[in-house]
Amino acid sequence: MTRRQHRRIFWVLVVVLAALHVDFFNHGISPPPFFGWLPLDLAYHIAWVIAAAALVIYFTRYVWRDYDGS
Amino acid sequence: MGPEATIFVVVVVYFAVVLGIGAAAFRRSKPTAEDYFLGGRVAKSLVMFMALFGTNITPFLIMGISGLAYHHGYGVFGYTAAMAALIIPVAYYVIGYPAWIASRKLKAVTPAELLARRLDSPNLGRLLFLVYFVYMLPYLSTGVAGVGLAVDVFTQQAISFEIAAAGILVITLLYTTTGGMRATMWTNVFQGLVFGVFLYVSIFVVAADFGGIPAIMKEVARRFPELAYTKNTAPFTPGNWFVWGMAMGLVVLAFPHLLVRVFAAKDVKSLKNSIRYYPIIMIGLMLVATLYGVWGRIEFPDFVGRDSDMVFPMVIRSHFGPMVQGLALAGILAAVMSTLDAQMLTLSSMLTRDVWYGLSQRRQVVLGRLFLVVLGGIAYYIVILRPASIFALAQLSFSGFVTLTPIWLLGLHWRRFTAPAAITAIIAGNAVLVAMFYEWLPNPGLIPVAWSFMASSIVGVGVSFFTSPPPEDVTEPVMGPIRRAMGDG
Repeated sequence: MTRRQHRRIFWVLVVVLAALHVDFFNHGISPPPFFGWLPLDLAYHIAWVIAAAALVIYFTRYVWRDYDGS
Repeated sequence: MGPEATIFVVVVVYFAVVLGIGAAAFRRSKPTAEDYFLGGRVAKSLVMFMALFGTNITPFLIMGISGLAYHHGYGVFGYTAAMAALIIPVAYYVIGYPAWIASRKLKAVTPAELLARRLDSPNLGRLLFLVYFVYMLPYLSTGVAGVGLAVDVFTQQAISFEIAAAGILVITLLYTTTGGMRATMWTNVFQGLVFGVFLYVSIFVVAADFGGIPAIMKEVARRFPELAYTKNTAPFTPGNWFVWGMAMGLVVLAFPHLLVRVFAAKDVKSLKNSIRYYPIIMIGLMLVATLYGVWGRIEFPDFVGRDSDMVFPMVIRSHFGPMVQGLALAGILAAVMSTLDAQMLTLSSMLTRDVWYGLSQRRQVVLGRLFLVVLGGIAYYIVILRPASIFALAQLSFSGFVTLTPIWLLGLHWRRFTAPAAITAIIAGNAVLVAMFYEWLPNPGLIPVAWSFMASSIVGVGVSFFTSPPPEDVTEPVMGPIRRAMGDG
């Protein structure tokens, strides 16, 4: 894939993740915790952060050029 | 040796190490402004990472987030931390990277100098210094106040809040005024390591004292079920959730002391590497701070309002002996000093480069050092007033800095952007922010920073169309390389 295509994929994923961050569907409810102890919305945001970190690694490798302006 | 004496000895040893590192950096420095303020622009990946990490860890993170989580539960992690994992790296790409290129092209040392040269307007540089100065003061005060509270708790009032606050300012001034940016970056490596390792290890020790992480989580759910889920009410409404998440991410490079560290990067690789693993490590610490706040409620259930800022040191004191308490205090001092030094150094560099310029390089350094002493005095005065909680003070400061973000985006990506547009956008954004905070304007639902950001953006774009852009020979040397770097040229 070209860098331009990587860049498009990256920005689409940024928008998707930003939208998923607003998890209003988790607010105001208290479902049973994962494994009996991990609250659902805490688990959700930990998973979200891991996905975001993976996206950052992707974009520093495929989107961000090593060009220094010279 | 009594517990207070042990804590004192650990902290004194810690200070001695920090001052030693500062002195070593001083011996390596050259008497030029670029070396003093940017460490000679040779920061490699590890130093860059630790400098960003150390600078970004503050009492806001340790005590402010834990204090808020104490009242609002685990939802504080999603509200105030998670989004930053994505938006901070994105901001490094869309603001930090082009700003780094521009700073080299324009030989700019400060953020204000960079925009003033890019838009050919010294008055813009002066206005930026003023805005940075005003919003930096409450942020500075959160750091020093955090130290005062921690010392107060760990020494059981043996050292007063006022003396602790004065002490941290004097120590920071000593090594910052002598060693400059090189000293702050070197000490940040040490301080970031101390603090990061301590926080990650200590939370497991606290959990083990309760029988493990599942046991303590179940105990919280049993005694305080309202902390286990996020409510639909303020401050967690969907709009505020999104806006504050964005603000927490964008503010990092809106801080002049962090942007200037980007300028110090040796090359693009250093910049990229410093940001690659930053989210997962940094946000991990925010999770730890949240857990400290929520779990601390079990042992200390009676804090009201801003008193919850003390929950972190209180938990440490109840679970560890004096040696580790001394390390914890040193960790908080590390966090504060590594931020204070950068904030002070950056403001002093802006004074000598953007407001009172035309001086010889040696005089710039002398004036910068004098300014640091005056700044420390003003910060100390604000700290002893203690006007609000750490989180509330930081929120005000962050909102002010984020209001500048549109200026950076437009200034680094739009050739048509003009100096009059930048100046009016800064004024409009801040006017809306102040009016919202004081409720002079009706608030249609979102937190004030959302409206000030919009006002600044709209005015910045609108006024640009009615004013003349800088000439091509001013614009092209900067915007050409930025355009190529972002893959559009």
